[in-house]
Amino acid sequence: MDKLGIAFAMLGMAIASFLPGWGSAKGVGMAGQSAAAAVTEDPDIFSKVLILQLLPGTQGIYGLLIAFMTMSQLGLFGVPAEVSLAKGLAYLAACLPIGIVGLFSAIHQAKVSIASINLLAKRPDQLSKGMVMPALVETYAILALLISLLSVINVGKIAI
Amino acid sequence: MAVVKMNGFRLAAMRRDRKRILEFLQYKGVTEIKESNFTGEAFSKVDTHNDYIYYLKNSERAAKAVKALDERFPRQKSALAFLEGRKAISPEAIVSAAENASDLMKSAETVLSHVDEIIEARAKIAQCETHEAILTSWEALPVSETFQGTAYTAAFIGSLSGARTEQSVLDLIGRDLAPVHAEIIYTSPEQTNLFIIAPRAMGDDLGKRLAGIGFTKPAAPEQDKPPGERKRDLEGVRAELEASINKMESELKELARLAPDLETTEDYYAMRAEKYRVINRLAQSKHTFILEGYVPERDVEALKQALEKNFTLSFEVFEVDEGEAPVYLENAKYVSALTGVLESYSMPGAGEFDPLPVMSFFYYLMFGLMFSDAGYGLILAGACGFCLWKFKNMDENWKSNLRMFLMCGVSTVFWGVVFSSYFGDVVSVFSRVFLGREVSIPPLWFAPLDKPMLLLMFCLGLGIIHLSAGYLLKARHLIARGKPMDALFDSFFPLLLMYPLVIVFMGSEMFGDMVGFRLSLPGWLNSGLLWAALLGMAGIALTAGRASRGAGRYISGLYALYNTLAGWLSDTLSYSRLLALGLATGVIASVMNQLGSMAGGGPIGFILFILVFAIGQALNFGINVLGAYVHSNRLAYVEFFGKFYEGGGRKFKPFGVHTKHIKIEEAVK
Repeated sequence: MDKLGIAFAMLGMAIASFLPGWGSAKGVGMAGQSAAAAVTEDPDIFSKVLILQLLPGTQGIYGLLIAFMTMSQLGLFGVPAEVSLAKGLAYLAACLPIGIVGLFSAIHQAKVSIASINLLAKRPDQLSKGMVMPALVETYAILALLISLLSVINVGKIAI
Repeated sequence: MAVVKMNGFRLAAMRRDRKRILEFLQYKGVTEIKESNFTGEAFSKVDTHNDYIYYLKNSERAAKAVKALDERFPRQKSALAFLEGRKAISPEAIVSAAENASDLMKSAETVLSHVDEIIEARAKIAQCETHEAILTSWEALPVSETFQGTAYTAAFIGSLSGARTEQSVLDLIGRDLAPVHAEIIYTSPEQTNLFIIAPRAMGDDLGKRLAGIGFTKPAAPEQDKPPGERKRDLEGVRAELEASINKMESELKELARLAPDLETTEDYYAMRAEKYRVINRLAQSKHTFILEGYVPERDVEALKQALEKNFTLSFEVFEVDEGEAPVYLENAKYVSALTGVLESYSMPGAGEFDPLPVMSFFYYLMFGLMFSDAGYGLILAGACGFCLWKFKNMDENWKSNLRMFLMCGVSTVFWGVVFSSYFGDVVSVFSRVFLGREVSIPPLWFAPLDKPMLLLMFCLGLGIIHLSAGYLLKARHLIARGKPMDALFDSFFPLLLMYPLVIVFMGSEMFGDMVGFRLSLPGWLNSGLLWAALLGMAGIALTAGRASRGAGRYISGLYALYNTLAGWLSDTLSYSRLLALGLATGVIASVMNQLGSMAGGGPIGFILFILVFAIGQALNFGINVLGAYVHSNRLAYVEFFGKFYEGGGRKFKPFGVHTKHIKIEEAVK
C-alpha cells in the first residue's frame, strides 16, 4: 500500500498542471477571439488587447508552479523521497486548491477580459480600468496558489 | 507637491488683438478656457464650429497623405523612433508653415487623389486583362463575331464543348450536308471555337443541325471589330493606364520628400482647429471680446505681466469654487510618473489632497516585492534608464511611463537582493553544472522558500501599514475640512481596533510557530491591548451610525463594525498576493534554469542552457512584469483608495499646442 503514496502525489501534480492549464487555454482562447475581433476594427489597439488576452493565462502558470514544486519535493529531479500513503494523499490534497480554482477562475476571468476588450474597442484610453477588473477575479486563483504552495512546501515536514 | 491651486480669470481685450492674444495663450499653454457665460446686450457667441471642422479636416487629410506616402516610400526609422519625441521648431518656422500650408494642402490633395486614381486604374487594368483573356480564344478570327456571311454564303461563329478537329466537327454535322467548311479558331480540352461557312441556301438546315449538337454563339458579340483588333485596343488602353500609374507613382515619389512638411502642416491645422474651438467659447462684441478660464495660481503673475506688456487688455483674477476648478497635480518627477495610474482611477475631487506622494511610495515598494528578482529589476530599470537617457526629447507620457518602470525596476532589484533572486537561482545552477562547484549568493535577509510563513506575515504586515496609511490620509482630509471628530470616529477607531489585535497576535503561540519568534507580552499589557481593541469596537458601534436617528443609529453602527472587521480581514489577506506573485517569479525562473541544465555540462549542454535561459526568462519576465503591474494597480485602487479616496475631479486641460510631430521651441518672448 505504501507504494501508492508516490502515485497519489503524482496524481496531485498532474491535477495541478492540467486543470489550470485547461482553464487558461480555454480562457486565453476565448479572450483571443474577442481580441482578434477588436483588432479588425482598430489595428492600433493590438498591444492593449493582447495584455487583456494574456490575463487568464496566469492560472496555467500557477498550476505549473505547484506541479514543479511537488516534483521537486518528491525528489523527481534527484533522489526520490520516501512518500507514505498518507503523505501522498496529503500532496494530492495540497494540489487541489490551485487545480480547481485555477480551472474555474481562468474561465471567469476570461469572461471579464472579453468584456474589457469590448470596452477597449470603444474607449481605447481605458486600459488600466479594463485591466483591473479581470485582475479582481485572479485574486482567488492567487489565494488558492498560496494555500497550495504553503501546503506543498510543508507536507514534507509532517511526520506521517 | 500637491494639488495646484487654481484661479479663475477673465480677460477683456480688443477684437483686433484676438488672434495674437489667442496664439500667445496657446503657446504659453497654462490656461484652460471655459465657455464664457458673460452676458450683456452687446455680447454674443460667434459660431466657429464650421471653421473648427474645416481645420480639423485639413489636419486629418494631411495626416492621411503622410500615411499614404509612408506606406509607399517608408522613411528610415528606428524601432524606437516613437520615443524620439516631437521636433522643436521656432515660432518663425510656424509663420512660414502657415504661409506654405495651403500649397502643401494642395500637394496633400494631389497625393490622396493619385492614390485613389491608382487604385481605380489598377481595377481597370484587371478588367482589361480579364477581357483580353476571353478575346485570346477568338484572336484568330479575321472578322467580327457578329459576321453572318456574304450574299452567297452563311457563316456561323460559335463554340462546341471539348477539344475537336475539323473532321470530327464535320462528322457531327453530318457528311451528307456539303459543301461545309469548318475552321478551328481555337481549341482547348474544355472548348473549341469554330468558324463554319456554307452556301447561303444550306444556311437554315445547317443552323438547325448546329443547334442540335450544342453549338453556342459567343456571349455579347455585338462588336463591329474583329476580336484580334479589339484585343489590341485593350492592350493599348492597358498600356496607357500603366503609363499613367507609373507617372503618378513617380509624382508620388517626388511628393514623398514633402512628408515632413506635411506633418508640420498637419500640426499647424490641428493648432488652428484648437484655436477655433476656443473662439467658440468667447463672448464677443463688435470690437471687443471676453475670455474666461482657469490658470494655476503660481502662473498668474507671470502671465499677467506678459499679457499686459504685449497687449492692451484687462486681466482679472479671482477665486473659484473647489468643485468647479479643474485639477492639476504637481509632484517630484518620480512621484508624478504615477499620475497616469491615478488618472485612470480618478483625479482628486473637490478639496481632496493629492494622494500621489504616499501612493507612489507603496506602489513602487509593492511592485518590487511582487517582481522581486534582481536580474529582472536590473533589465527593467536599465532599459527604461537607457531610453530616458538616449531620447531626451521624448513625449511626456512616455517619459513618465518609463520613469515609473525605472523606479519599479530599482525597487525590484532591492527586493531581489534582499531575498537573493538573480534570474531565480541561475548563479547556483550555472556554477554547479558548468563550473563544477556550487556558488550561491546569500540573501540579505532570508530565502523565501525556506521561510514562506515569515514572508507571508511580512507581506500582511506591509498590507496593514498600507491600509493604515489610507486611514491616516482620510483623517488628514477630515481634519483639514474642519471635522476632527469625524477623523476620530472614522479613522482613529478602526486603527484602535486593529493595532492592539495585531500586537496580541504577534505574541501568540500560533504566530511563534509560523515565523519562529514571538513577542513576549506581560499579562497586564495583553489584557490592556484587548481592552483597547474593545474600546475601538465600541467606538465604531456607537459612532459610525451617527448619520441615522433613533435605534437605526446603533443598528447601522453595528453593521459598520462588522464591515470594519471583515474589511480589515479581507483587505489584509489580499496582500498575500505579494508573497504568491513574488514566489511565482523566483520559482518559475528557477524552473527554467533547471530545464536548461537538464542536458548537463559540456558544449551542447551549454548551448541548450543559453537557449532555454534566454527564452524561458524572457517569457517569465513578460508575464510577471504584467502581473506585478496589474496587481500593484489593484492594491492601490481597491485596498488603498478604498480607505479614503473619492476622486471625481476634472483634469486641467490647458489650451495649448497639442500636436503630434512638432513643438514650439520657446513660448512667445
